[in-house]
Amino acid sequence: MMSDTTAPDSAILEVQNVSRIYRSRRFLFARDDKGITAVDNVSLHVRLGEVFGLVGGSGSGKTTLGRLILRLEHPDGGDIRFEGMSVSSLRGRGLKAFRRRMQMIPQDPYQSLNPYFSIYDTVAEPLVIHGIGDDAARHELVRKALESCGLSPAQDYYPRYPHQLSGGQRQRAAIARVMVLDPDFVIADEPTSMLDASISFSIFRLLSKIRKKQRVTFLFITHDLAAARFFCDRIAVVRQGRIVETGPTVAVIENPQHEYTKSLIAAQPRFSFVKNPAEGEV
Amino acid sequence: MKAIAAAGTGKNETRSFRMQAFLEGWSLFYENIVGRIGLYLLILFGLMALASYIPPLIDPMYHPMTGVDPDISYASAPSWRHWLGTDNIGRDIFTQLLTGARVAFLVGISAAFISIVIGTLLGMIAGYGGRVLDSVLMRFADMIMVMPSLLVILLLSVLFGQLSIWIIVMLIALFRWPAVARVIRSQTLSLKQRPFIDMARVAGASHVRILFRHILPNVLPMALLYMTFRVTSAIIVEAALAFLGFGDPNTVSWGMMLQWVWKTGHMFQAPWWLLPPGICISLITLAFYMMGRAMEEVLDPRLRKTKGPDYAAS
Repeated sequence: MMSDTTAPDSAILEVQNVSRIYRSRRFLFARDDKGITAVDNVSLHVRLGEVFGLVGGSGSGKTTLGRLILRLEHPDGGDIRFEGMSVSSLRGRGLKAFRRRMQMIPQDPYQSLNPYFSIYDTVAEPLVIHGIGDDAARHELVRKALESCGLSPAQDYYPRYPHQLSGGQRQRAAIARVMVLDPDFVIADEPTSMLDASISFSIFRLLSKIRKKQRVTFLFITHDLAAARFFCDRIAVVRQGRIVETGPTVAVIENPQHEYTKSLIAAQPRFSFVKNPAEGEV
Repeated sequence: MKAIAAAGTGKNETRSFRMQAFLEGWSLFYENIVGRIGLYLLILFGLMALASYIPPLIDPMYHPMTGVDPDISYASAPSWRHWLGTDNIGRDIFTQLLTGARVAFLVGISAAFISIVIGTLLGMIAGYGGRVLDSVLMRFADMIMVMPSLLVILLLSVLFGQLSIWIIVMLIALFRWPAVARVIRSQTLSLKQRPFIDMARVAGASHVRILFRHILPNVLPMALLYMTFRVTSAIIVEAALAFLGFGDPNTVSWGMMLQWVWKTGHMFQAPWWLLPPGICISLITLAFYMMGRAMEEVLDPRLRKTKGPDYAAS
């Protein structure tokens, strides 16, 4: 695998100088506007089997970067390589093969499931699309996926529709839909931002379990440093479309170099249920 | 896939989203007095259309087109023998009226259905397809929308001679899809931004699959709503054409009946002949329109007048 970057050979994903600029639609005599730069000349690499965190505030471009990697959008500059293949050049069959290997866990479980699909159809759809197995084999795969995501007995969930599930259950169904394809690379875009704390925690535990069992590489997008610390091996801090700091999670959080990282850490809410006389009231 | 899903469960308590949405919508619809009146009227017309098959079986003189009362050869007033009287050659008006209901449903529903199919397809493709396709299809829709459809159909019938009822249905359908396409396009544009469409793309779904499996079910309720409005306009256009003398002479429609009254000079001599088809045209279009308005309220919560407390009380 030839690569002209500094990324190590173990990199499964390389992002090289990628930019994405949103321009308003130009019309006849409208002046040329600069547009909004959502992702500005970002480079990073993700190693096989690690969990890479993308941490940043709202509007920092972290979700856009995820969408670029998933090829839901095209970069305005730079290149994204998945196992050395340029993602943006994928077409037809190559793209479909890529889609089978790279998956996304959605942000909002209330919006990311088609209301007209039963849970069985939702989870089985990727198998149908990729023509994996016959009916019986699919049935088995769906059952396994649902049960490994904590929806068991799976049969109870088959005929249900998203509106009949709680937020946590929906997110588990969405994860089952991702995992049923047995992907190599998963982008999790704030998978718990719409869920309450205890359910978030159980979703994290589920993701950790999946990671250990299936050898999946994760790109974890979050605004929550605590979650990143819990889950990620390395993180990159993103601000206004640029990476300001990157490194092993513990190193970045314990010893932040950039002002923005420091302010993010300072802004982290600390809840203390025992009054600490040294810190005063919180 | 569905069979396994169904076989895999012993419970039927879980209703499909569609079923649940339908039941909720139905109860809202039924609470709506306008919708209920529209529905009753439609049922009445439906019964009329069904009943239109009965009179010719009783006596051949009750055939709407060819049946002539052997004893009457003038426009006779209502009697026991002819509930709504006869036309000038002794045909039974009541039978014609019943047959007219059948034709109205036939024309209205088939024209509306065709225009809904075209409008939904093109609207979805325009909304999903992106800028170029969108512009091309929508400008095309605009062009058709601004055409005076009645005038164009009249010109066509002058050019090609007498039009059969199915040609008329097709022409109405071809002129009435753009409004549907607009609505479906805007729905598709907003659906396209919903995360579940992205999820389908990430799962590798083809455009065809996304359009027909993910977007279509979500725009279908709106398409059905627009179908009721299309039915209304199709019936009116057909009646207008028939009255102006460009209808299918082999079909007994209400517009055709009006044309016969007018042509034979009975406008002011035979009110039993003039009034029933006129009233029926007004009522059936009103019925579909009322149904449509009530359905619109079900689909668009902003149009509902009832607020929370009313639901709590019921």
